[in-house]
Amino acid sequence: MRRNRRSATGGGGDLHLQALTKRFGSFTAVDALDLRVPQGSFFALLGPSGCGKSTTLRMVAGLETPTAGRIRIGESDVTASRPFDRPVNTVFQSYALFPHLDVRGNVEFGPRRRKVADAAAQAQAALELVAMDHLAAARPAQLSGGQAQRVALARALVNRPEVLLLDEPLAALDLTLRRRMQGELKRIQHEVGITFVHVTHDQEEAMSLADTVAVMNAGRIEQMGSPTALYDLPRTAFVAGFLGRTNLADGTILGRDGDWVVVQVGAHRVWLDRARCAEPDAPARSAVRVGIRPEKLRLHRVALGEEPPRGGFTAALGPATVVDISFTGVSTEYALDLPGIGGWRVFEQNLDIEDEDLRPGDEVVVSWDSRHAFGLSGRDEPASSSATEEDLVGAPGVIR
Amino acid sequence: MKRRTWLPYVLLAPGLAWLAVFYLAPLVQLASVSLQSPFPGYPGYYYRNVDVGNYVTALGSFGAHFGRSVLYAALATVFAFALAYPLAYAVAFKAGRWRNLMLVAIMAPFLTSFILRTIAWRQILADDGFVARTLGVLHLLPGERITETWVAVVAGLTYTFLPFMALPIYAGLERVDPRLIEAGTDLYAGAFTTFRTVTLPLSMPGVLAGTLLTFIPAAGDYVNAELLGSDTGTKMVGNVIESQFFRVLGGYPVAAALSIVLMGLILVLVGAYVRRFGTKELV
Amino acid sequence: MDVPLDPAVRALRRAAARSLATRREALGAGMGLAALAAVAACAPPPPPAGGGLDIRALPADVSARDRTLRFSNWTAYLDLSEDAKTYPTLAAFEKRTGIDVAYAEDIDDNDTYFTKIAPQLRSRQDVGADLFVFTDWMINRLIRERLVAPLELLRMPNATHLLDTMKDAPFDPGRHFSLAWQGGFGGIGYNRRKLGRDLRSIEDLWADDLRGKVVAVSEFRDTAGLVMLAQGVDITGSFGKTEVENAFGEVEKRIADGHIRRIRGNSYLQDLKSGNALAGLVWSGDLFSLRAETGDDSWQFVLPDSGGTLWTDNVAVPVTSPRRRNAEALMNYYYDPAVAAQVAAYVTYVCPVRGAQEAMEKIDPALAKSPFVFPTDDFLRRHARVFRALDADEDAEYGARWAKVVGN
Repeated sequence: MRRNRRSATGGGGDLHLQALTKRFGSFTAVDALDLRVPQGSFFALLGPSGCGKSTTLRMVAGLETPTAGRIRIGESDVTASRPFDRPVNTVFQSYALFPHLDVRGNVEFGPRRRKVADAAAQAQAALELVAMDHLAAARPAQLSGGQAQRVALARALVNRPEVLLLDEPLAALDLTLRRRMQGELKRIQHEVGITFVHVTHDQEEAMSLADTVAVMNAGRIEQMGSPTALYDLPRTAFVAGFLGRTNLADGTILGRDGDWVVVQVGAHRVWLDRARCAEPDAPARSAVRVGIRPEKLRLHRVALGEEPPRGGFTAALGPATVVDISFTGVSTEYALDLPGIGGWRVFEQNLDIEDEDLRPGDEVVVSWDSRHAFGLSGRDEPASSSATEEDLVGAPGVIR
Repeated sequence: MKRRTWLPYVLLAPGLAWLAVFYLAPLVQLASVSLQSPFPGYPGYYYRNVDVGNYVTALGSFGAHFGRSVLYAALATVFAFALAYPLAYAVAFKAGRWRNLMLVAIMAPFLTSFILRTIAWRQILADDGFVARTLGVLHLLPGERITETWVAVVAGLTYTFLPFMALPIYAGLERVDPRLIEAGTDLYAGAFTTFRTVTLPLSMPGVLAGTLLTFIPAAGDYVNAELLGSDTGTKMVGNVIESQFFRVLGGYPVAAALSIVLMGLILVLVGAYVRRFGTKELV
Repeated sequence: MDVPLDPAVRALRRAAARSLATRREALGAGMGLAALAAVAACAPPPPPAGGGLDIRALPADVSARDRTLRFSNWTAYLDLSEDAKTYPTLAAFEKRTGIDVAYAEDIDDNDTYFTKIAPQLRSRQDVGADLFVFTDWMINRLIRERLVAPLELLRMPNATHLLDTMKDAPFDPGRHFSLAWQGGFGGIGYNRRKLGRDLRSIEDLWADDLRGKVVAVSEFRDTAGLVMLAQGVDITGSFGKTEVENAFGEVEKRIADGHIRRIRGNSYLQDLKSGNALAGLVWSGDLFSLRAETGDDSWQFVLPDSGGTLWTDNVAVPVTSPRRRNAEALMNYYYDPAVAAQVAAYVTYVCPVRGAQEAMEKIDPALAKSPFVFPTDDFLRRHARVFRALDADEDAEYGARWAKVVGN
């Protein structure tokens, strides 16, 4: 049996997927995926279940054979290598710890198979890294979810792989523990400097952990970038809906005004920065979808005679009716009904001293700084139409 | 909440009564018979006694039969394991949509009497049959025939108890999380190493159950030796018990003593085996 | 000495018997387990007290008002209709007498059946039968232990039809407790075609080319009895341990040197059928069944030069039965020569009823001439011997020794 043995430092490189494709019968799970994960980065593959992210991960691990395409790590092509020949290790969903071995036996499993001389010492170091050395003699069945998670991490890390794959590693943990483990993961990744590829459907987890997030949908990467870039400027309705919440309004392009695109939405005119449009060169009369995050909106009480500021690039829609109000502490969330456009949501930070003054049924106008809006293709379908309920845990989706 | 303390006992009662009547009582009866003495001058009649002579006879005259029982049962267990493990593995991991069909096929022999099946084996293995001729041409036969040899007895035992081996192993393998096998290959174990270090240890409860379910009844079996074996060379303890009980006038206490000794022998062997290979720590 | 055959008709009749034969074997092993479980008596019953059977201790007879009868018999031991659904003679008996007979073919082995019912019988509990059939040596044991009820011969006028040679059975002189149901010979069976010659003596069986091709019945009174006859022992007379041991030793030697392939109960027939054996010490009726079933006339049955054994299966009433009169009515009925001929035409064993031979002329003239079904007194005197009744201690001792011979 041939094994690739390499240290953490030598011979490393980026993980590079080229036109990677996986078909199960007539179903295409992963569709000509191109991806480069820089060495040492914390990379997240985010998407609803069935989007192909786990299949991609399993192909990198060698547990699935690609239908087409190549997988490279640095200079070496591992597409055809067996899982045990790859410098890749996996933290499995629900851990897959060996129940017949104790914690130490689990962590030593990899080093012993590689015939490493100081397997015990390496295992000890890995257990210390995840702060589990005190439970080395315990059986997996005796561990809590968080402990099992750490052991699974140690079992993979002890092998010093070029790439560590994490398949929904925190999905089985409760919320508090998940938050804590996120911190741990980040610390450990920082310490070991190994490339982490983290698959999750939890947008918050992906955004808080990863340097780079790739949002996958239907076997393709919809958009990739830093969490802030993705949030600030989603390029598709799917990304807009999957990362945070977005208000959308369908409009028609009227024309151009310098760097701005003028859009007719209902009876109103709004502006989009060309640089923030998915299709900046779309001709007049073509359909466009305007997106704006709920926290970027401002409310104007019609009853008090408030009006949006005129001039500049302040856009406004309304009047709208307040349908529901929920107070969450840091902010208040308003559900609005914009006639002819749909339901929108507004987050208003609780800066005011006076009591909440709006009631359901009150009329308001919403306005925003046009620099915050973004333009999506008018043909684009948002995430909520295809994603299942489960996928939307932690991914609130689109408001229309 | 003291009102319902009697409830567990009520629920246990039918089971305990069943055990007492159909397990304990016959066992006590058997033990008491094994110590009875033949009534002088009235063969076939006995009186209550503490006659260890029956045990002396059982151990003294039938040592070879005990030896064969243990040996044949052990051989059958080994062969059944060798046949059943790959079979169960294939059903558990490779059968796909054929799985249920294969399980039914494994259990199908139960639908007919195993005595009839063993009689059928006698015809299949007959001197003029295909099996004996083929082996004869290949010079693989120890003598001139298969039936009336220990080979036929062990083969018959293996066949009879194969499902008892295959089904528990299948159940054990089926419980093995395939992700654990993936984890093994991910952690630098090749296919065989993964099998050796992950799959096999995890299927040990099934293997243990299968070997016990094969060995114990095989050691007590007499049908295969009766129908496939010879007169003096292959008979097992079960045959002697049958003969002493039914055919030898006055042999009833010896038959009982033989049964008790066989039971004790199996308990000791099984106890040692479980102690050695037991997998208590498994979840 | 051949039994003439009409293969076409016989084959049909035997088709049912064939399936029964395999079932019989299955039953044998299966019932072993059942019987083991059935033995539940706590204290062993005491041996019978001295003296004769106290007829006052018999249960009151209810035959007059209870017109039923439970008859336990061996498989394939009663004429069966072509469709294997009814027993014609039994149906006629029911019609004639109004007695409803529950006929059960639940005996497949003397030992097994006796071991099963013995505890109840000895403690005088009902055994589920009012009439059963045992081979002579076993009925000997039952009579000895006073487990069968005496027969009222006056109520059975047909009983006088019993063959003279069977009337003074050593185990039941004067036939006060049992009547013969069928008889049979122990002798040599072989396949003339495969062997290319005829066998005439026990010594012929030990020819070199028959090594490993000889089977023998597990009943020592036949297998060892035939050997004893060949050794010049009078098995009807006062032989003792030495003579028996000589014969057992001979059989033991033939087993050890691989000459006798296997000693079996009924299933030895399959070894002959499969070709595993070409010859054996067998029972006459079995071989005729085999011949009918295979349609192969080259299967031969002969009584050895030194003589064959003659045994009888005897019908008797357990002491526990309250329907003795009904049972007697049935026995009387089957001793009607016409009825007996009907049964004999089916079972092809020795018919114990005088006059049945004449009745057989009308049913199957060829069979009526067979000395194996209707032996003359002269034939029996010259060719066959009855193994003498053993006393209790001999019975036990030889039985135990025989078990060792056959490897148990």
